[in-house]
Amino acid sequence: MTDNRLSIEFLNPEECSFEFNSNGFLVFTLNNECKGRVKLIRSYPYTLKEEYICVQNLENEEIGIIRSIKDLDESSYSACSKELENRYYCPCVTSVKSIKERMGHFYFETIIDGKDKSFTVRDLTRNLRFSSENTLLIFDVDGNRYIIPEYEKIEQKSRRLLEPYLY
Amino acid sequence: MKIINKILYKLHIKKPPQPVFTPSGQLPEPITKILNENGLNTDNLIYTFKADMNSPESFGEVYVCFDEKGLYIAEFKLPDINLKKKSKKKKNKEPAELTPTLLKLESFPINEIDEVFAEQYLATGQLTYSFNGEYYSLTYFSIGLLEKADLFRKIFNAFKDGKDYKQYMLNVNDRVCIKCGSPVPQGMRFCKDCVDKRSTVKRLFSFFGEVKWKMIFMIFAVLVSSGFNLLLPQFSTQKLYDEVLNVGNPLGYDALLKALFTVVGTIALIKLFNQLFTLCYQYIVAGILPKVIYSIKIKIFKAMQGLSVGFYTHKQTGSLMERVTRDSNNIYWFFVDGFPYLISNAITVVGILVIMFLTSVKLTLSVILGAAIILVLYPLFEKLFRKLHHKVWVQNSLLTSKVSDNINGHRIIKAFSKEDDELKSFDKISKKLMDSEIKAANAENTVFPILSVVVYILGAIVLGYGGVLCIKTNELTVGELLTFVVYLGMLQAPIEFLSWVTNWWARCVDSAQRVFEIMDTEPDIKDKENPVILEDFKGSIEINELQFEYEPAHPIIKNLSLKIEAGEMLGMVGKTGAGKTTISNLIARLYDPKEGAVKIDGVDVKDLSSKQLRENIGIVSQDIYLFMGTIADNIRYAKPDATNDEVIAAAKAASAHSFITKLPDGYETWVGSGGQDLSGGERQRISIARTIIQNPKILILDEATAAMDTETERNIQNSLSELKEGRTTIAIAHRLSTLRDADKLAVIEDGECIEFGSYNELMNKKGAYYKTFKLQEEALRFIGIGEGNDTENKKETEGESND
Repeated sequence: MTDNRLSIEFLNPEECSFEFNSNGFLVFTLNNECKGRVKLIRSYPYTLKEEYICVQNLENEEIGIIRSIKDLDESSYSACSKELENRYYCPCVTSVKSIKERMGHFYFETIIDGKDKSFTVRDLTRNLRFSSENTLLIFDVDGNRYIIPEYEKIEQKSRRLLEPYLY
Repeated sequence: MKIINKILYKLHIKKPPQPVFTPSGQLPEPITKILNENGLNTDNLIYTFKADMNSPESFGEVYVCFDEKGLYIAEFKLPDINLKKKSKKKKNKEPAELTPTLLKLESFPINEIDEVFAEQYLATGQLTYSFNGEYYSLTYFSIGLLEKADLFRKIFNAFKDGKDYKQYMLNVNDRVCIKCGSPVPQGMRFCKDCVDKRSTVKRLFSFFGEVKWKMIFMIFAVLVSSGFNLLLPQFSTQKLYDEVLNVGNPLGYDALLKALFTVVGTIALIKLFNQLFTLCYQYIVAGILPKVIYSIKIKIFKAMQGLSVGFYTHKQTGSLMERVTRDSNNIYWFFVDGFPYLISNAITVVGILVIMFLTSVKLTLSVILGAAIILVLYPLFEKLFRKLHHKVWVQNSLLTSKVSDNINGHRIIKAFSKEDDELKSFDKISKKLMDSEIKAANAENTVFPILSVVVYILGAIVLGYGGVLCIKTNELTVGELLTFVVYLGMLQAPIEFLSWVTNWWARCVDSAQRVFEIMDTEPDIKDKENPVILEDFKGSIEINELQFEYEPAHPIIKNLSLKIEAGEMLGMVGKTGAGKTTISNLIARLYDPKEGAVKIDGVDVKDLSSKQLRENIGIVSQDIYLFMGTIADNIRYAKPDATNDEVIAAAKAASAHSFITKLPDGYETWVGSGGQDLSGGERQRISIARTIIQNPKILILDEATAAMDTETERNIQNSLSELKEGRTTIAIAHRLSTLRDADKLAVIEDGECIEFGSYNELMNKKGAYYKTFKLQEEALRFIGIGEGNDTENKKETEGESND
């Protein structure tokens, strides 16, 4: 049963328009009023990538929430989609070649975007974890993050290497 | 050649080629050359930021730099690693392909840039700039480079505004390996190649320095004990069979009986000495190890006490606990259970092989062949078991965390009636643990019998071969063969032990390395070599252009300046998250500011002795922590020699006495973990009493009375008013009624002090303070609490009359 007191007021997709300006930044127009450059924030970044999208100005003040960007017109949808992809881009680990432990640090040799990439992870309990049932997040010691979006689909050798360290 | 080099590196005879390190802010040599060739004079460059992405979704090498005339972006194509490998294989050197190739070089006139920004996304960031209200993109970078990008932003903006940009360049702090100087990840002192396990071992054994004679005697006892053990089969089998039980023995009954008693007596004596020396080394190990481990634990704990608050906030506190407990225990168990047996087993193996060789070379060679097979097989399975056991360990940790979470949150669970859901969740984790335990047990139950069969088959083959040597060629006597079989049996356990002890040793060394890492961590906050000790600590505070951030590019305090005279009271108001608590933490030097300074009595807190500073600053914060112990112990925490009278007086001043005396155990009530359950207000009153007894010159009250009802708050306010006399007080509060006695008020918003002055000045100004005051007054009037604001009303009248 839906509790009416907890209902959210979403932005009306028909009144919203998004486009990239000539410098490549997303600009928002609400009810024919240009709000200037805006940021799009995913409320549920891993599970609902196109829903509950917060629109904020550069001062981090919320203009409103869009229920689903799919409800926007085609050009706005494609602009929002592109902006979200850029903003939420995370290097995707396609293969784990080796994991070596030394001094409590784990040295990962991986392949990201078809290129070799090495990074160091400490405290695997925190820094190697599932964000959802099948999405694995890895945080290295420098604060970089990497993702394995579909853990079950990566090659068996990588899974065999990762498995002992997964919670 | 490659293999020889690797061996030489391993043996530390030859140093591996060191990577060329370029400090932050500078261009690497090859890049400088390329840019110069392309018309950019790099001699005048002020600062450079190296980004690692050339678009929002792809990696590349981008240099963003600036000089007095403009800002430049140079994008390079990274050398193709696969191509590099291929060219090496073909021995075909293609230097042109292996050096970076300039893709584009853009320049932006400096007068067409208003400000540079470092924006943060999920896993990346973007360097942008604005000009005439429009934004333009410069480059993208991985989120790990945010700190460096933000530094570039600060340096550029300061340069552009004509400010002292060089002060930011002093903050450039490259993380490099202390041995080879190549870049290392955050928090690491050595790079991967310089982690020298030998030095760890040396250092680990240095803990035994104090007990070295006992250690030497222990090793001697192990050697002797193993020696006696090796001798045993010579008498219990060979001499018994060949000299006594031999059917063809020509000796008479009496002589045989004498020989039998001699053999049996010798066996008993050997066993007695063997046990005596075993007892000796076990006794020594039991005596020295707890002392060594005690010393290691004390050293870790001491090192942890020296670490700054930032370390505990940002680093893995969970793993710190592990280091004191699990890692030191790992070291303990290796030295108790592993080290003596390592010596004993090594001696046993060598001794047995020597005896075997002396008995029969052919048979011994067949034994070595079998042993080699076992030595190869065991580590293979050991690796599998290690993985399975690790999984069990992981699931076990999860289960422990779940239980701990459940115990800590039991009130919430009951309040929301979520017992069944919690049980389901526990059941799920528990089932996973059960599954992994079954998997590990099944693997062990399958592998071990197979391995035993292999060992027995190998033993049987050796025995069969020995039998042939005994019957056919008479190379062996029956006694020798039987002795050989006994030695073969004695060999099995040490070989198994030696095949997996290396992993145990590796775990012990890893634990030791983690322990040393803590011991070697340099605290962020540390005293100067000769810190200033104020003869008369008065307590005046001066904050100059203070800037602070917990995370790069997220400033919490922005250019804040304040001045409080000794003995004055400053009230700090502002929304949650405005930075009020951070300011108090900076005054107490729990953190060091990024820029600006906090001065006490005119001396920068960085120059003051931390001990004197903390002794003279008392903080009553929102986070109340009571240590395990009695209420009296907790009140006495800052002054352990406080008398009972002082404890009661402090409790009375904090309005804690009345509730303490209601408790059956009074001041001796046990609190903290597992102790008496106290309410938030009661705990807060104990923490106020703790500060009252400290008698500090600077008192920081951070929402000290937030958890209390109006009456208790008023009682404590009265006590605190007395306490404030003669000392500098900083009171942080949402409720403005708490700040009625403040000499000065500061309104903090988003890390900045937007209003500063006396109550009257701020009320007359009719700014943010006036607005908040009016709002609270209306709210209190609405809920019928008007009496609490008599003073404010009076002051307000005064303020308005000054209009």
